[in-house]
Amino acid sequence: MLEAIIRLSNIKKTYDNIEYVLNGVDFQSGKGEFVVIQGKSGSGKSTLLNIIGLLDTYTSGQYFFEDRLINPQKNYPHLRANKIGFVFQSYHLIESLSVKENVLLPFLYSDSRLNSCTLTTIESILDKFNLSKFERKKVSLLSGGEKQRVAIARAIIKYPDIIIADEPTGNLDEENTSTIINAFQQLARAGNAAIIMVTHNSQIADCGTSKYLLSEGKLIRC
Amino acid sequence: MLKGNKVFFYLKHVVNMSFNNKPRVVLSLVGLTVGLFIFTLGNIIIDSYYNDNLRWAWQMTNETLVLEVQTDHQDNLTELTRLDREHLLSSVSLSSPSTIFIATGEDGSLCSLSATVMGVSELDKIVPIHHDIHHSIGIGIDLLRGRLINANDVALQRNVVVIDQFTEDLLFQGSNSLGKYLHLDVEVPGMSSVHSGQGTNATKRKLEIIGVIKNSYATKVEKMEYRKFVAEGGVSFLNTTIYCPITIVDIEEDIAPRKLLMWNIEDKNNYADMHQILVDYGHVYRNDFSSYNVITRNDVIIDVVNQLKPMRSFLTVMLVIILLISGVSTMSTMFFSVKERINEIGIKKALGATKLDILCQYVLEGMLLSFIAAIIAVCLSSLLALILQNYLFYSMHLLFEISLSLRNLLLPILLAGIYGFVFSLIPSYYGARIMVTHALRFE
Repeated sequence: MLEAIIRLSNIKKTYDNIEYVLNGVDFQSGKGEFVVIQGKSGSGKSTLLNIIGLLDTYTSGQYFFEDRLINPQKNYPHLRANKIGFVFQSYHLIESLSVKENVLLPFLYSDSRLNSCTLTTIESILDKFNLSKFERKKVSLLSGGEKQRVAIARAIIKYPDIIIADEPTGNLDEENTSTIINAFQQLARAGNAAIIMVTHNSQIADCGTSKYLLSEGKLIRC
Repeated sequence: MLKGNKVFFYLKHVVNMSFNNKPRVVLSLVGLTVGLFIFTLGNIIIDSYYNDNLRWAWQMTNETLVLEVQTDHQDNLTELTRLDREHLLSSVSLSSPSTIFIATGEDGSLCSLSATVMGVSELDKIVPIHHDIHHSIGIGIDLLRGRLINANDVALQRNVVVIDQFTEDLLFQGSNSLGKYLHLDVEVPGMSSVHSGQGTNATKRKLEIIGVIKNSYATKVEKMEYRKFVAEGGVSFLNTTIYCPITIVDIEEDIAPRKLLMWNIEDKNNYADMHQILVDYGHVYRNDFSSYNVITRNDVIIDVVNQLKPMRSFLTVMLVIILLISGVSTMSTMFFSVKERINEIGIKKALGATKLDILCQYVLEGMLLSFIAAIIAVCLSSLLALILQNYLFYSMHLLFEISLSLRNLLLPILLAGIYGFVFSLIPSYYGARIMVTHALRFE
């Protein structure tokens, strides 16, 4: 494993100041790692991912992103735009836009230039995920597996340092699940990003390079 | 910040997102268009009415100073003309109206044309006037055929006259009138001798037509009246002005005719001085004049503006209220749009959009829809205004010229931009503040 990109130290999270969803989580991950986090429903997996992905704040503890201390009172859209890619269970694509427009969307908010090189990269990524023929098609007309591939393409288009996937195969059949997991494994092997995936599927959990269990607010390495 | 081709992609994205929900777009556009349409059409009509009334004043220049007097004292008149002979443009006498034409129909319809005879001084410039007892204004003149009255005509007291196109069309059915004769004081059947003048059943004077000039705006109004008579019948009394040597009017009139003295003074200081001199003269010799009015272009404009101001202000306020109501309806549609697209906001924030990005996107969408509504509104209102003008002209025989100024066409578009910005801002701000995790939960 390369140097850690993210380091969480004693992270705690509560919504009502009474019950802690996360109760002292210690975790770190670097490029080339494919981390799988398992846990029961309501164990706080999505909450942990949201904190790592800077979508949500934490109550106490310390979170370092590339050696930079994250202040829970602040918002970090710039980091999300340039360093983090998301893949959601419900895809979270803009249905009225085409496949290509959805994949290009991150460029509106990142520092990356949108030029002919970028467009070539997009073509190759779409080709890699067998989406080239759907380039101009509206996302609303795609199947679940196709949508999730579009979501992954969108997540990796900026070459982020970290890819966060929250139950990416939750709505997919076996074949599509296999495709998605293979894609993640390839990305991890390429060593360009850290991949953190949450799942409740134990078969998929064995596909990662490291496995964790989130239980009673704590993260335990398996 | 946007870089390179991103601007194009961003704008394309804004346009795509603006139109992705067709019912919402239609709803927004209809509301905005109706408000802007009423505003634009209202402004066009108000301005047209305003300009219609100011048309008289526009025919006068800022350098022109007019004195309208009625007096038996020739000495006063002589003294007035000597005040500034260098800049004296014209000195004219205006007669009482004299009937020059009558048309009758089998159904008892009757149309008469009465002419105010304007006697011109030794200068060869003729200055037609507006048929308003309060305002006599000088305008330029366009000679179409023949010649104008000159000093020789005045000196020799020739019985010659210059008429306008409308008078020629009426008296001579459009044929060339040069060399033909115009008879003053033709008796009107069934009317009292007061209207038909002193010469009962006889022509008072026969005048040779030596020139024809272009119609003034006042004559265009009379022409409409005549068209209405031709179409609908009834009784119609039309008015015109004809021009002959000043001596004829001075001889014919039993009472002192109204006189117009006009000066053209380009130097502003001299103009102001002359204006004051005339006003002071009027005060000093007020008992010698039965009528004494000093008229400048500003006087006429101020008079018209003051008459129209209350109505214009009231109508403008009404239009602004309509626009505001339309704006509130737009704002509620925008709120609906933001609520409908909460998930989209969450996705974009997850991808790195800031609050400002979300705010800008929605404000731009609002402004884009407003601009489109404004363009539609301007086109529709201009079209309707022109249709209205034609309807009034051809069906009602009313002359009402529509003013489609650049201001009337561009103001709604400018307002739409401001309008779109203001009424999108609050909903956009609401959308921008939504938390990412909450927004992503909405489907």
